Formats: sequence, structure tokens, C-alpha cells
Amino acid sequence: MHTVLTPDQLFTWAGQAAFYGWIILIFLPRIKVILIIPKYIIPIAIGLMYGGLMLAHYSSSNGDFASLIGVRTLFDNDYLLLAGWVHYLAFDLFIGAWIAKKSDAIGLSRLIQTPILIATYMFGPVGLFLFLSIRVMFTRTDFTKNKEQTHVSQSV
Amino acid sequence: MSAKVFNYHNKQYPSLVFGLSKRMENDFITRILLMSFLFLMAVTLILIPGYYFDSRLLNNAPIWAKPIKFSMALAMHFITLAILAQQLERSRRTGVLLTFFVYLAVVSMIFEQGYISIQAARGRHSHFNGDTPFETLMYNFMGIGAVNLILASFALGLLIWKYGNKDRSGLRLGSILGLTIGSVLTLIYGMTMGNSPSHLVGEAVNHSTVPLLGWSREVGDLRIPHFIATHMMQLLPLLGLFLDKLRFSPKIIVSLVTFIFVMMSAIFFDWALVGRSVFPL
Repeated sequence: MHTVLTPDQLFTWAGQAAFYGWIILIFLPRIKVILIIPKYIIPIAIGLMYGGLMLAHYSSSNGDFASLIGVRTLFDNDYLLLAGWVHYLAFDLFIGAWIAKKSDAIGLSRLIQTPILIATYMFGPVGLFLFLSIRVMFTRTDFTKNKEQTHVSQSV
Repeated sequence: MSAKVFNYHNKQYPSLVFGLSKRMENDFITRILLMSFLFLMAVTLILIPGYYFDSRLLNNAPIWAKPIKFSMALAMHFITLAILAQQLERSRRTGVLLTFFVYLAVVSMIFEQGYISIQAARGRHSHFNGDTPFETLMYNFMGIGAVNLILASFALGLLIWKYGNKDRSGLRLGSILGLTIGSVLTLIYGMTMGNSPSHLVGEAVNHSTVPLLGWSREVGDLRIPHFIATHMMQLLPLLGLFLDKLRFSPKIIVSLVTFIFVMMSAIFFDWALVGRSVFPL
């Protein structure tokens, strides 16, 4: 019953899962049941894969996180290289889903969200920077105030 | 249906910090134009480290200079459209005509800025590139995209003329003249440049350029008339607004400055075509 998957096979699966997540974020409507797939389901699945890979292989490697050479040694092992890669996939996708949700909240057109999401997919922090520097220009104060006021008037 | 796909229900969105959007309406056209501006400013910021980290040169200029210049110029274009569109009534601003041209302009902006940045990263020319079939095709698309960007400002100029608040303000006069004449001249100069083998006319030897703007100081440079024509769209409304604040009659001054800009761009265009530099050594 015990089958060992090759790193290549796992790489393909993780890459495909992340790709479908990004397609959902970029093209599909923002409905809760759909958004849950890229925001939670795929990152959790990839997270489990990452956990398994790290638990199984980290201690047998001579590498560490303390220096560039240590990290390179870590990545000599194909399983740890794969773990490093799926770490990107999971975090980038989760950040992408967060950007999508927060973009909708400030009324950022899906048209302009698209290049930001693609930038996050390809070069994670670049996309995050683009979105954060747009969002920093917005305030939420009047939005929440209005909500509170309607709430008070209803209760009175 | 399409309204829902693009997330434009009549929902209340947060406004800009420091009350920057207080004089702007919260309709989807103003919003997408402002967002385009913010997006392009963000792109400019992220490209600056590239400018300092990357030592590659293209056309004797740092490789990221061009994407930065484009993102800044496009940002100015979109904030201008957002502010000047406030002269229209909301129903007119969100009408079919302007919606169509604004969306076309935003799509073209994303394409132009994206392609120019990708080509810079690859160390390849974006404009004037016929090296591969793909790059030739993309160069043609960039021409279409540039026309789309100009169409939006031209349409806005005509709409303000026809449906704007018909007062005698300098802002109105400057907006109409700047947007319409600026767009037409930009189109003429841009298309001439697009059909030339290069933005330079003549053989540059020591590649001496004007600082910051990068215009040639040796040979004719078709980008100079393009620059004047395009930035008329910002300068004339600003001049009009300034005259309104000073309570000067704007009619003569704005018309005269428009005439000067048109003549300047035409003369520099002529010089560029015969290979003469505006800023000779």
C-alpha cells in the first residue's frame, strides 16, 4: 500500500492546483463558495504537502536557513527544493486571494486587478507592493461610520 | 450582467485619504480613472529599484528609463481625465460613449505598460522592433493602443464642449482646447513617428541628450513635438484654472497659449523631420 511519489509528480500537481486557483481569482465571479477554493482549500492542501516534505526530509539535510550557502545545501535535496517551491505557490495564492477580496472592498476594477494578480502570481512581492501602495491611499472611516449610523437608527 | 462582472453595483466604497476625492464623484468612470492613476504610480515606484539595480543599457539609456517615463506620463494622462471628466454631469460621464472609450483606454494602458515593461526586462526594444514576427505584431498593437488612449481624451474634450457646464471659465476653455487639439496633434506626431524607422532623424554620434527627458541634442527628435502636444492636455486646463483663480479673463490668454503650443510643436516637428535638434550642442 505504501507508494512513494516522485518530486516531479508532486511538483506537477502542486503547480496545477495553484494555476487553477489563479484562474479562479482572475476570471471567476467573487462568490464566497468559489473564492474559498483559492483562498483556503488550495493553500491548505499545499500546506499539508509542504509539512509532509519538510517533516520527512529537513532533518536529514545538512543545510539550514542561516546563510545563503546553507539554503543552497538545503535545496540540493529535490524534496526540499520542491518544498521551497510549493511554499511560494501556497503563500502567493493566499496573498492573491487576499488582494482580490480587499480590492473588491475598495472598488478596484477587475480590469486593473488582473495585472496586479498576474504580478503576484509571477513575482509575488511585486504584486503585493502594487496593491498595498494603491490601498494605502484609501480610508475606511466614512464607510464604517455609515454602517454604524444605520445600525443605531434601526435599533432606536 | 456586465455591471456585476465588473463589480459596479451602487455600493459605497471608501474614499481617498486626506479628502483627496471630495470634489470627485463616486461613479465607476471616475473610480476606474483614479484607480488607473494609482496603479500607474505604484508601477512607477516598483520600477525605480529596477532602474538602480539594473546596469543594462538600451539606446544608450538605462533600460528601465522608458517604462518609468511611460508609467509617469500615463499616470498624468489618467488623473487628467479623471479630474476633467468632473465637468460633465454624472449621467453623461457614465453614459455609453465615455464608458466605451474609457474602458478601451484602460485596457490599452495595461497592455502598453505591460508590454513595454516586459520588453525592457528582456532587454529588447518595444517600439520600432521588427526583429521577430511576434514583436512586429506587438508593435502594431501598440500603435492601436496608443490611438485608443488618445481617443478617450479626444472624446472627453468633445463631450465637455457639447454637454459641459457652458460657462466662460478658463477651466472649460482650457479643457476643450487642450483635450481636442492635444489629442489630434499627438495622433499626427505619434503616427508619423510610428511610421519612421526610429524616433531620431539623423545619425547620432556621441549620443548627447537632454538630462531627464533623454531627447537628442545632435539630431532631430520626433518625441519633442509629441511631448508638447500630449502635455497640452494638462497644461491648458491648469492654465485656465489658474486664470479663474486670479479672476483674469481666460479667453485671450488661453487661446494665445494654445496657439503658441501648437506653433511650437509644429516648428519642432518640422525641425525633427529635417534632422535638426531643438537643443543643439
